[in-house]
Amino acid sequence: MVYNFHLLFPNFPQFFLEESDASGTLVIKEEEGIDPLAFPVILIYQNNQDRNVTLATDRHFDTPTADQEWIFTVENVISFAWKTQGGEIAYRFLEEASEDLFRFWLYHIALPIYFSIAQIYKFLHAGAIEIEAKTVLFMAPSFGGKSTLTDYFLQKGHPLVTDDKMATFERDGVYYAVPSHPYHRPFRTVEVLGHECANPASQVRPIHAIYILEKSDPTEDIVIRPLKGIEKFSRLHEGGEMNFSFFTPQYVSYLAGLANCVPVYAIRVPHDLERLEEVHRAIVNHTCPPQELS
Amino acid sequence: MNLMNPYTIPSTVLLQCVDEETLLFNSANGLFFALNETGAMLWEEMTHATTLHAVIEKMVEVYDVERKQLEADLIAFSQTLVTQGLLSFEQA
Repeated sequence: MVYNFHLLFPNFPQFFLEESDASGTLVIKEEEGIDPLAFPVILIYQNNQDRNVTLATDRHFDTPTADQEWIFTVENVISFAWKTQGGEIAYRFLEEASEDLFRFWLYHIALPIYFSIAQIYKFLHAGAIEIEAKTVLFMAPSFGGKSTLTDYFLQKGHPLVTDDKMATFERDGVYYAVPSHPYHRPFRTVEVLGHECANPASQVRPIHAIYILEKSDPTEDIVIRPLKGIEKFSRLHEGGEMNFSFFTPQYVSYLAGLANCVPVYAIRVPHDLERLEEVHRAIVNHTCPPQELS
Repeated sequence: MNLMNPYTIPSTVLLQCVDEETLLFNSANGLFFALNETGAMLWEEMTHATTLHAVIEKMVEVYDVERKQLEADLIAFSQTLVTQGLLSFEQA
């Protein structure tokens, strides 16, 4: 499953991942007739992974409607097309397409855009793992050590929830984390999905805690402190992902709800790879305090 | 300051409560502004009015506050909001 959805690839049956309980099914089908320039309203035009990417839609709008059409194009690689609530995504390979690039852009970017616009999930820029069936998130600015720490936890046997795009949703006042895909990229190479993780998380679970990583001097103590109020909210907002301008009020309100319901901590992380085990132990013990000896 | 001048709160300004703190978030520039208890109360009244005069009249009626002090507090608060881009006044 990817983001707790079964993905059906009529053209690539080898991409099918193991079945289990899922929120739904998405059909990902090839469609030669997709025109990357078909839609007049360009929402995003930017460089991502050294490629120009574009998100366009068929109409001007305040809030997306169910039948609104979208095209996400990665220059020279692929175009994805869908309707807001269509339940399927069509794609067309362009000149430089390959199976690996297809899956990278689908899992890493197109699906998060699809789920965000359909308001199925809200995303955070975070790594996440499980500690004894509790999902904890790691957030940090770019080059803040998030991937390094996530990778270390994986090496220690913790299940991977996500290494980059954390899909979340709220139900009955509880905020849940959704496992993204079973690939992990503990290096900076563009357009690469990464290693397939041997131990991916499979269950949607409540978010137990969020740790905001603060890089510190290599000799500094590892300190965990709870965040409150405006500081907590602003740190979460810094780690926002897929925060489209047409959804800003909803996204901000969602973050405030998340901040009010989920504990958020800042952790001082010494800038020393030799001390990663100490950081690991500190977070594990903070999440699951050792039983006190009687 | 002319208390009868209409003011406008930009639609990009969003009020959120996190823990016991009240904050204004301006999505136009991504900046946050924390409100203390008094500020939160003044902001709440301002969202239901269009002039500072109307806010004062309402608050004097509902709360046991001295008009002169309320005027001074509200004017100071409004000026801060204007500086932060969270409020604007129409020209008289």
